[in-house]
Amino acid sequence: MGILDTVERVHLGLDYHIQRHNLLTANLTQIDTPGFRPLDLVRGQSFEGALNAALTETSPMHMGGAQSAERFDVREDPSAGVGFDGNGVSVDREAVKIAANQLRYDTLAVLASQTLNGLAWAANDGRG
Amino acid sequence: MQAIASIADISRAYPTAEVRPAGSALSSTLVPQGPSNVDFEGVLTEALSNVNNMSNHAGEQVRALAAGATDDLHGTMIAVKEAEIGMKLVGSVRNKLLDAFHELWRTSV
Amino acid sequence: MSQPFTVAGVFSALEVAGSGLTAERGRMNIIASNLANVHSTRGANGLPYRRLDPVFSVEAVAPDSGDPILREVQGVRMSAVQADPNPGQRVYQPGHPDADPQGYVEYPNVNVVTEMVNLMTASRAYEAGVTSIESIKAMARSALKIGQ
Repeated sequence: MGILDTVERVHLGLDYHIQRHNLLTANLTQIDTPGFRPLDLVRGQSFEGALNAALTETSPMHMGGAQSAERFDVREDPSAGVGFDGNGVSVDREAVKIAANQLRYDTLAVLASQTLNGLAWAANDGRG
Repeated sequence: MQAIASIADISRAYPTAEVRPAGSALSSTLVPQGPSNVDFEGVLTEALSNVNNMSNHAGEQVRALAAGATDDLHGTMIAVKEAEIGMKLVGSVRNKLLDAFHELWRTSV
Repeated sequence: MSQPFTVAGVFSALEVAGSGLTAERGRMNIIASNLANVHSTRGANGLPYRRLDPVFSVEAVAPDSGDPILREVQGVRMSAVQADPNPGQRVYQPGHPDADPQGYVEYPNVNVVTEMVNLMTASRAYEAGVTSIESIKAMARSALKIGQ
């Protein structure tokens, strides 16, 4: 598969998490809006699809293509509760989602950095 | 041939020199006393293939985390670091081999 | 390098702690309602206000996970709100608009002291949940330092 393919997938993951962060924090601004259902960002449903949906390689010398033009869908969160005014935003629920999302973002950022450092080491003829 | 399955095994596979007690000839204290039937090329090839496996495994873990398919943060970090260390160990051996070769090449007869 | 079961990360612990926060917040809302209506002698149904009690139940976080430990982990959910059926104090106030034919007014069965104690308990439980979440985040962040 190759290091560059891995880095590209990590890049897409980082894109997803930052967009989701923006969406979740926007939910918090709507905490008093009557009838508002909280939104969430959804990406490719199946794990298999995410790993195997690559551009087909016609030669083993080509670098693998990660999912290009990965689409993320904005959906209403179906498992949110509902308040007496129809508003479904719970501060605690959104805060937990934001915390978890942020942890994943931080992890992917560290992994991207380590992967690229490994590639730089190899490019430096393995001498640091 | 003993199967090499981890970094610890890689370092065990390279026999280190034994120091003989005082009184022996200088040359014999420097001669490595490991088993004489060690196939160094085989050891190196197997180490390379194991490092390759570790690398692939780490790559799979990272891709799974990037796709959101796993929750294993520390497992992925450890796998990536292990693969990096394995790679650097093998790279270090290769550099030493190259340097030794160059030194021999430069020896005037 | 296969594992006997997949390693669960910290994210299920975050959801469990979050469910605790939501539950305590719900309890505080109910206590606020009780305290606000301590003198409400007539509700929508013509009867005096009855204090409300939350009913909590467990809610499995990951019932179909591959991890046998994770299957047992439970979050909390407020499943119902119950009215306390005990009658409140009856006070003799013949001029009161809600007085019964004998001149007695029935007040809500809300004890302010009890409600304040419950409020402090809920508040402490909420803080404990927040501390729990901060610890979980700190653990995950130290995992990021592996190999740095």
